[in-house]
Amino acid sequence: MSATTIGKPADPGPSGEQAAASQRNRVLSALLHRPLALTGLCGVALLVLIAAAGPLLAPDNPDQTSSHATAPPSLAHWMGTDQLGRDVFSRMIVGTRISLAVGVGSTAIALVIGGLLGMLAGLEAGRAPDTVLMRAMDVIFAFPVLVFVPVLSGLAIGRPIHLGPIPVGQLAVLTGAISVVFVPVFARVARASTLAEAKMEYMLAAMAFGARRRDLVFRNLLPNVAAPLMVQAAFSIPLAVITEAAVSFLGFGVQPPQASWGDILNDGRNQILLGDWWETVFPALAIVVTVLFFNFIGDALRDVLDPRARAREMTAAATGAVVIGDRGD
Amino acid sequence: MTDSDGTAACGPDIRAGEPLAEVTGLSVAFGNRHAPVPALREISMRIGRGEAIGVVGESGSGKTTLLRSIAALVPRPFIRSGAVRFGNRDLLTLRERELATIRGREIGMVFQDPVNCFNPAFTIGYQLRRAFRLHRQGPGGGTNAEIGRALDRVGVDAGRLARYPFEFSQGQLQRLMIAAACFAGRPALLLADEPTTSLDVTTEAQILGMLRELRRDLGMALVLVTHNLALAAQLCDRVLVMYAGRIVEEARVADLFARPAHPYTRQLLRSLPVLPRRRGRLYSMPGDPASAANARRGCPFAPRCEALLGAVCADTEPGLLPTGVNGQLAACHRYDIAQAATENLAGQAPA
Repeated sequence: MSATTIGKPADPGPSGEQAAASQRNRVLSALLHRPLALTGLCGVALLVLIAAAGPLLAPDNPDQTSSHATAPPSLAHWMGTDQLGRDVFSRMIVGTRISLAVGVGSTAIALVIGGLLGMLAGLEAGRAPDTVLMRAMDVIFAFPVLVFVPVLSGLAIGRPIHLGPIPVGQLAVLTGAISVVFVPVFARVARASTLAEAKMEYMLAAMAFGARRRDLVFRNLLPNVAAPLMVQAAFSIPLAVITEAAVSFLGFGVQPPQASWGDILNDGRNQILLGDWWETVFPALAIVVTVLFFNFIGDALRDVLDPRARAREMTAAATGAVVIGDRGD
Repeated sequence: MTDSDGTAACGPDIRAGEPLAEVTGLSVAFGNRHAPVPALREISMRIGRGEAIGVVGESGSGKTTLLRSIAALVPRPFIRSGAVRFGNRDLLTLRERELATIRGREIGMVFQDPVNCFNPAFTIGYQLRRAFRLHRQGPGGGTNAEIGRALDRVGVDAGRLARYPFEFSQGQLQRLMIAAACFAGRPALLLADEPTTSLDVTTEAQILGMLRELRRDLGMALVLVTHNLALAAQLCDRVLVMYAGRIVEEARVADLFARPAHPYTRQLLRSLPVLPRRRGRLYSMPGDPASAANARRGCPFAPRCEALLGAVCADTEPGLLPTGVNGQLAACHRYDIAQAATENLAGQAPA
């Protein structure tokens, strides 16, 4: 390589991006070889497709009332109709978009904010910024989720909250409120990994080779902190979906006639007593299945990204032992 | 390994000319102000251009801390006093931004455990390229060709750049680290912290030969931290023996082995196995290694010393004194007694 490429201005070779890409390929192929992870991936892909296509897939107008009120599932209405005669299946499909968007959106916001705050705290460990940040996280953590989110989201019902000149709609407020709840988790994960990484000899070695602080943080620390954060995100998305459902169920989330899974559950609440099960069972199932799909991915991601887990697996394979209950960290 | 041992051992004269680097009165204590844990006490040393210095001592004697202090890698609050002069700058007063332009470029560093010194998440090529580019702005810096030439020198196949650290053996990773330390910049000083401790003896011999060649070709000074006296003997011009955070003896390699001045050095040399084997058990030094952290009154080595001089050893700590041979220094009261005696004689002679 050395003799043939002298003089070429840009040597073709694995760049950082390619290295990252090959890391992604490794993770992806590891995921595809696990049946549960594959199920989770396919399931989530399907959900995303449904969310993206939304109204195009719905057989009926989800908001169209009809005289066929509270009809049980039939060929015309696969999941029956609600009190107002709206097609539950269509509402479920349209609701997927909001449920997923709120879940993924709030997790993404929490991941970025919590991750950065946590890394900052970890780098300043033991000093004032660390203490202030992490105590603030404790305060947020201590706040009951189902008080905090409904109150914030409820404030925005019917009229957007103005953050300065920017009006923030109710859905955005809901997403933001849920993300606030999840920030402490990500901050803690990021801080813990930062503390562990900062002790690693390769950080010292990078410094000894003349790396600046910026290099250390963004090129050495961040990529290694990102893995546990991704795992955390995979587990947080379903929680966020549930939170959105709960808040909507309480009536402070998505407002009618818009549909989300929790909102459909809420509408069906009264029907259960009358034995009309379909309006609650289907959204509940959708939530359960979504949570499962994401958890499958999260589990597999953790195993693939955590080198200790990989080492344990290899030891187990080598000794023929079965690793039981090896979940907690 | 074709050079004669003679050239490597002689080196430039240690006292001649301006030193490349100089440590003066360096004291380091970890822990906080209320509970300091001393690690280095009043260390002074000079590193001549192209000179190879071995720093030997037991675990906890402060060797590694000393080495890291020279690269200003010890966090500032822990440096209690002293200076590390490199060129015309005091590294301990520079800002991180300025240090980043010296580390790697003018001072190269090789660590003990090569496996942990590479970030496991990136390919070797990516990490080497980054190390090379840190010090080569503009086009041509850190090209595969340049890295390939460096890898040629250390005997690693340049075709393996796209691989991850775990795909290399320890010895190969150490070669890669040496390549980065020596060729990413143009270091005048190479700091090596037990570079072969984690390697098997065959690999150790290869790495040592390589270090010696590189040092000769690039004219680098070397500070080699090791607990292996034989290693220091092979590679270094001068040896510092450390005990409990202090330098207890400083001597040219030949002198150290021929006439060890400090009782610690003598006991250390006695505990080396020699062939053909003498009869009886191999000597083992009594007591436990002292650390600078639990300081005691008197000489730190007194509890293990087999040549105690009496109460003076338990009461006062000896300074680093000339033994009268080739600039050899030792921190032992026998030399201040000897010195006092000569001074007395000198004082009495005219009378």
